[in-house]
Amino acid sequence: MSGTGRRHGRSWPGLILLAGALLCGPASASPPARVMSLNVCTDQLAMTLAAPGQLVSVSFLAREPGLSMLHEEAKNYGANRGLAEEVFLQKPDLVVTGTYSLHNTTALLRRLSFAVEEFSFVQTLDTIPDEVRRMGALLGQEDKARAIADGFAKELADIERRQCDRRPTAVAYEQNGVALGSETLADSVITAAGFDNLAADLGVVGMSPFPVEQIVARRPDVIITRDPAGAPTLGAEIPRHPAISALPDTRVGAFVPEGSWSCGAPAVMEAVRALVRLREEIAPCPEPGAPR
Amino acid sequence: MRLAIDDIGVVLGGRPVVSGVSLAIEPGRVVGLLGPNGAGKSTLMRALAGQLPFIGRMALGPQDLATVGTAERARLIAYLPQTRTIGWRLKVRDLVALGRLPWRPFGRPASAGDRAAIDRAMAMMDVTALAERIATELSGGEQARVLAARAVAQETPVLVADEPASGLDPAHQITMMQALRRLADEGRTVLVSLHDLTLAARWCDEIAMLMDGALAAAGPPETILTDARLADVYGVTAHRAHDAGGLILAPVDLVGRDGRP
Amino acid sequence: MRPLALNGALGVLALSLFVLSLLVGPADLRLGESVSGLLAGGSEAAGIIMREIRLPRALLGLAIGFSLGLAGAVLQGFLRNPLAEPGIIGVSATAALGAVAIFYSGLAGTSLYTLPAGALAGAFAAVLILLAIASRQGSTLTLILAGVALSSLSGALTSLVLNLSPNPFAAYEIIFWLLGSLKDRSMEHVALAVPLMALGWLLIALSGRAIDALSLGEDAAQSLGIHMGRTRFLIVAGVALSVGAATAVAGTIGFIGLVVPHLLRPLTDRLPSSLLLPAGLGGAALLLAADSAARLILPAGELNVGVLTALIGAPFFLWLVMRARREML
Repeated sequence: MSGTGRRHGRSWPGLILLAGALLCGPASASPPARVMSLNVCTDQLAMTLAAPGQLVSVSFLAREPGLSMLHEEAKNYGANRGLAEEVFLQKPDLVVTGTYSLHNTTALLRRLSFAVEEFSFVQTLDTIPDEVRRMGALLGQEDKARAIADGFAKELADIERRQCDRRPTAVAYEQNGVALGSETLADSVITAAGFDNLAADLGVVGMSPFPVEQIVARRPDVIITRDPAGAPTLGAEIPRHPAISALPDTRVGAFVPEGSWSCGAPAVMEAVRALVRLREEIAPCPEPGAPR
Repeated sequence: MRLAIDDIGVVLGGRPVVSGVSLAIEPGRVVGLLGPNGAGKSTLMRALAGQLPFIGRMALGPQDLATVGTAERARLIAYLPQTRTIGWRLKVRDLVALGRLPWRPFGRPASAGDRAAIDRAMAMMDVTALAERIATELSGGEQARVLAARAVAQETPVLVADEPASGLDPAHQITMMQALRRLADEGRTVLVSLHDLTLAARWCDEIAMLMDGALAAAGPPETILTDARLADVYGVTAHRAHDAGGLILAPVDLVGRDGRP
Repeated sequence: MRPLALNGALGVLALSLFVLSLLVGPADLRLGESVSGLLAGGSEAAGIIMREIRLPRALLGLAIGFSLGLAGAVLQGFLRNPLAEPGIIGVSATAALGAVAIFYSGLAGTSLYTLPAGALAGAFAAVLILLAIASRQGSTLTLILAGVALSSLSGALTSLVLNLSPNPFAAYEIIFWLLGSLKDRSMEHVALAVPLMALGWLLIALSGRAIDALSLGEDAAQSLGIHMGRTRFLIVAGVALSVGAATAVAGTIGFIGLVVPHLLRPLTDRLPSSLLLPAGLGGAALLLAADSAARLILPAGELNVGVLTALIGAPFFLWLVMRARREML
């Protein structure tokens, strides 16, 4: 029931986005000179694509290693906290942000006649090439974007072609015992790398609390956790529950590079590659042509 | 046991409330502590009960009370506070049984001896009939007697009772004083503070009169409760008579109203 | 009711709910699987679930419920105030603040051992502050209002500390600290908290005579041989240890110490000491029942158990307050 509701809720920003794109699409011929990004995921795309000096600031979360693959690069840019006042002071030609996190800010900025482009919160591997191209178009970096997007799509297709019927089960188990189910970026990565996502198989949609008991009862082959970042939290303890450590045949660890699958950006491929290596180690596919 | 109070002083909030009081109370005697409001009666009694620090010496028989611990003191001196507090809807019998706490080691239920002491105390305070009632639902006078029965059940050599008769009807005032009298006859030492001069004159063997924190006089009622002293200490005149039971004293008027001293 | 019968009945009830708690969970284990999983060793899923997940949870429910019921009963007896309860007078909230302040700052490392240390310090501070207020101004109202102020302040500071944490995930844990939970605890938590709680129970038990005598007020209690300083220490330390350790591993679980003593008092002779053991057992039963219900109502997402105890307790509290004028005790 709640899953259905959530799906409905998500389609609305998509419609708004589409309408926004049609109304205030690429009207100006010259690319924007000053661009601000307010969301850690648009940060990744903007930092990848922007010309030198074009991007004036990114969100402060872009410097968090746990959330941002490009956290080192982020230090070269100013940091904003996504406040309308900051935007007002920096007077960018274009603001890029996510549909979800800063909804009120977006509305306010539009009232103040800023050009705001929103990127959807729902991302999977399949949406990434289009998102890259869209950001490229917004920044006037179409060629660079096309190259990155095409390369990404090709590598993904290669990887998916190399899969077979041997699909070990995996679950992405986050802080506080939250699992990543279907319609998440992590699910698309897990699936693309040749695993079955246990949480999605059990009907989890999006991010949802997942009892340790369920994990133990289903004994996935792999539990992908997150390395605790900096200051301690209690939630970080849950994926390290003794009951999980007691599972004899289950591999538990931070198998994807830190921050690599927080956002739908080209760097997600790092996560796919890491999981493909893991799968080939624990359940190698037979050589093509070899008898099953 | 003889209770000897020697040059006692109590300081409260930097102000001396009791000073230089010396008093000896023999077993078997009921000593009435008299004095107007604020004379220091309650303070002296609380010091005796070990609730206030004091200077000077207090001894019970051969024992220096300053060296007696809280638990041991509870087996020597029972104290009935002036404020009547009953915290929960306790049954009368259970409330009186609290008087046996000093005699019961941790965790041990009441013994037959404890139960006998509780029965005696309830009988003495005329509350046996109330044993199964809820104490908070009783009248004020009944509560006073139940609380007194708790102190009696403690069966200590000394009983210190602060205003036990206030708020009681005449019959129960007499019950209360008779009970104290009987405790003394059993050989206990009884110190009782009173505002009622008639009760004091009638029931006490000795009177100790406090005024402004100091002992104004001590001795038998006849010699202490003189017209001059009543005028001096309380500012009242009194009518007096005698019968077989002793002195009958009734305060009559404020000094100066009718021209008498 | 006779004390033995009452305690026996409550003990059986708590034990049955303990068993129920072992049988409730998202993994569909059959009864036989559960029993053999609990008793047999090995690395079968059922065994791991029973021994590493459900057993610690049930043990904590038992011990924490016992602590909260007992602490409520002893505080009510000591303060002669039927509304005194660790949650209402702010002890739990301050314990949570202590745990949060030490753990999330990361100053003492990431060890779980910092949790009880901080919670105990917070609980000690709260009990001391409240006793100071109660000794100056004995009215029920003052104590409850002071507790409300302390609770709100501690709750706000807890949120502040979690929001200030450099770890972006910390802020999501506010709900755990404000509305506690026994979800996914482990034997580590049992080892961490239960010995401290047990020490607290012992200290509280030692104060039994004193709280009985205190039914007659402080003066009478002292004349009955009660050492007020020692009593205050026993109760402060006992409540701080049991409530502090409970809060350190389960967050703030309210109202158990209010509801249980109040329901059971009429079944005792109403001496505060006679209520201690029944209140502990009743508290254990109530928390185990609430925790099982939390898992049954929302099997996947799981309700915070503090939500349930508040749903039961807060209306009860309101009813007590409205009735208080007529018949307080």
